[in-house]
Amino acid sequence: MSYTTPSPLNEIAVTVERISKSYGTVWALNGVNTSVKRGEIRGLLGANGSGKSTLMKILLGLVKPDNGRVTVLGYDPAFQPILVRQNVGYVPETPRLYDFLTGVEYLDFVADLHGIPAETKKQRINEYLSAFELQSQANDLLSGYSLGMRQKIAISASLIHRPEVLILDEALNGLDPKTAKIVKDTLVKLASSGVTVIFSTHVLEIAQAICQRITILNKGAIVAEGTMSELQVLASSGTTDQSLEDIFLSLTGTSDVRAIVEELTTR
Amino acid sequence: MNFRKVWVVTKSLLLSQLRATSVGKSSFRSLIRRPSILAILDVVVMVAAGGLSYLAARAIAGTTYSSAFQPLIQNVVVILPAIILGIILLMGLVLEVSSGAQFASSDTVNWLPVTASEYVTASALSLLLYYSVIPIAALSATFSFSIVFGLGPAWLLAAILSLFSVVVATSVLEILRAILNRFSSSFYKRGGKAAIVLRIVSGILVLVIFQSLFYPTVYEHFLGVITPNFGPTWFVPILWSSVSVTSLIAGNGSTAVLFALLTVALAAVLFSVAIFARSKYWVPMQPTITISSAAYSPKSTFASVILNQAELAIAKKDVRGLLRRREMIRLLAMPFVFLAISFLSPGSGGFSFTSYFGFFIVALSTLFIAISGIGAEGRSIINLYQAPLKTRDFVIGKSTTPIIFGSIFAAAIYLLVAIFSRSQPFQTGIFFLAAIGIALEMAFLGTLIGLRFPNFSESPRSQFISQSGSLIAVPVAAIVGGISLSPLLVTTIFNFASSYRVVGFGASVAIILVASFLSFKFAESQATKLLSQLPI
Repeated sequence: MSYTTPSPLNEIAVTVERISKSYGTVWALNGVNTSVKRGEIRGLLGANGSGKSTLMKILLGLVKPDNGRVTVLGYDPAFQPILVRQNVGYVPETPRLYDFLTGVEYLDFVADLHGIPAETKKQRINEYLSAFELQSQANDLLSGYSLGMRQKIAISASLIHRPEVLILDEALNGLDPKTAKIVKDTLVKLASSGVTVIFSTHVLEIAQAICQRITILNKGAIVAEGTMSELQVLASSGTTDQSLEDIFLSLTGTSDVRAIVEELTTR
Repeated sequence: MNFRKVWVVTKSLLLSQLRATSVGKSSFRSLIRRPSILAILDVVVMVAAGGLSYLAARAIAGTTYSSAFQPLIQNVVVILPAIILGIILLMGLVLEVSSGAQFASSDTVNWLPVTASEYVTASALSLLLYYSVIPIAALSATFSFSIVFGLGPAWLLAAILSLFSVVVATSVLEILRAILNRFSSSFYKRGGKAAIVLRIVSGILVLVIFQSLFYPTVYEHFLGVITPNFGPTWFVPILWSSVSVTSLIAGNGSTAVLFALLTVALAAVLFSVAIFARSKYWVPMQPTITISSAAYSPKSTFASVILNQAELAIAKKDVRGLLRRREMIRLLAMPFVFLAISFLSPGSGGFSFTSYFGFFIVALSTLFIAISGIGAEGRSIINLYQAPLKTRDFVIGKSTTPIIFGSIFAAAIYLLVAIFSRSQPFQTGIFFLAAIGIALEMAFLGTLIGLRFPNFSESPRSQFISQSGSLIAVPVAAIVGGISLSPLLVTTIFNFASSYRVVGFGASVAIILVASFLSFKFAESQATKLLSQLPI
């Protein structure tokens, strides 16, 4: 998968300023500020309901914030959604594919929506089908695909227009170890070529392994942000061998896991 | 055949039917959905229907209206086996077409030591028990009347033949189920044009038959031809039982016996076919995995001259959805259902009537495809939201599929009219062009309504359009379509000179174009609102 972007590194690709979003009386996001550089892999961590998916949807213009402002590659998704979506690839938490299309028809559909010329489309679709070992099922209806196969198609669709920013919401869910490795390596390679990657995951080892910076969200607010070493300092452990899991639990106030396990297993 | 095994499978299937339909409902419903309650209900219905009909029959017998009631009761007894067959078939089709969970236990049966004949017998029995209240109510209600009006022997024959009608109905359902089992394995997991065409045709046929059976004038139509000399009804196997009873009443014993035996033979043949179909299409079928080594190569189409890439992508996707999704078949079946009903209804006037009725068929079919187009996206609409899609492309892409299908329906209907009716080619020609215009108008209007009232919910079943949307769609379409067609229809119906008809046609086309343009513009503004924020 050859991939080059002319954009210079160290520029800011994504800015998030005082973003708030509520659903009824529940604040999904509350005054969130952050920025992501071009070519950076940013991990978003947080418990279920911490606001990760809402933030990602706001970045794509799928959800409008109540307050604050977001820019993606200099465009405001709330007012220039088409310009943003031309340059952003997105894999939702649960990919909603059209089950009545075949894998190849779905990729063809997404490529057409992005206006990719026929010859380029053909080359890229074959490239992704081959990379994810989906050629033999390419003409099967998506309704017959396993979770992992659907995820591969969704990831391929997010990359097909060669986006400058990639937003992946739990994109490694359901992937077999080999494909997960392919995706991880692809993300690293894409980032080195200037693509900005923002991805959420519950698998903390993956975040620790590939993310340059990590943002930890809790109840709609950022509780910590930085590189692994910065987070270790923030967690006030004083030790450098602390895992991201320990840091996460410490910063999100869920470090009483042992007590909960104890209570659950008490006879 | 091991009858103990048959009974075990019957109980399991019956329980799965009863419990599947009570999932998520109140605990009271769960309580009453039990086989024992079903049996009690049967007894109550039998006693109530029998008792009430006895009182009614005695009351009528003593009045002067008695002689007027005699032929009515006779007709009911005659048609009884066919009605019971029709109702059970209809109910089974509703159950089969709309739900897959009802027969979940049949999957387990596949790896249990149960033969095809045991399974078919059990399945037919479970259907009979599930719908037992229908024949019991019908037979009990007619029993007393038959005795009072001297039709006892006819009722007895009708009751016996009703049992065989039930076997016919359940066997037909078993055949359909076996075939649908194979279809669902092959259609929904795999592509394949032949399989898709076969499913569409069979789906449409099933719905046309279902709707026709449901339509009361069809029975009225058949009742009219069931006479003692039985005319052409011997062509219709489901009416053989009626011919037998009619012949008995007319004192033609040999014919009565002949058609009674034919009914029994029909039941036996269909039961054998059901067993064969079950063993032939016994799931799980061997997988038909297609190993495709051919690289993907996009094809260019003529449509790309008219539509841009994004519009064409949406249109292609929607056409595939309409042809491949099980729940969309009802939309495709709609014009066929209307055509069937218009021909089966007495006094419809045949094809000259169809030339006018064609507008209604094209308009309503196009409208329903269009209003469903937005909600039919379901949660997958996020694919359109995350794409760099302009609202204009979205509206045109979404309106294209109903325009295509509306035009196909118009072409098919007016081709039939041109072939079979005596109307002038000129009139048929301008009616066809006006119908294409109506398809265009209804597509944009339907898309506008679909955008304003979408329903993206996918469970418990896909709705596509909100209740208010569905309520206003038809009246609004009727007003818009009526205004648009009035110049053409007025000049045609009142036999104006040809030049005036052309003017009428021109006026209709002008109104259609204005209405289509306005609908498109409103739809664009509605799409801007809808696409501004993910609705689900």
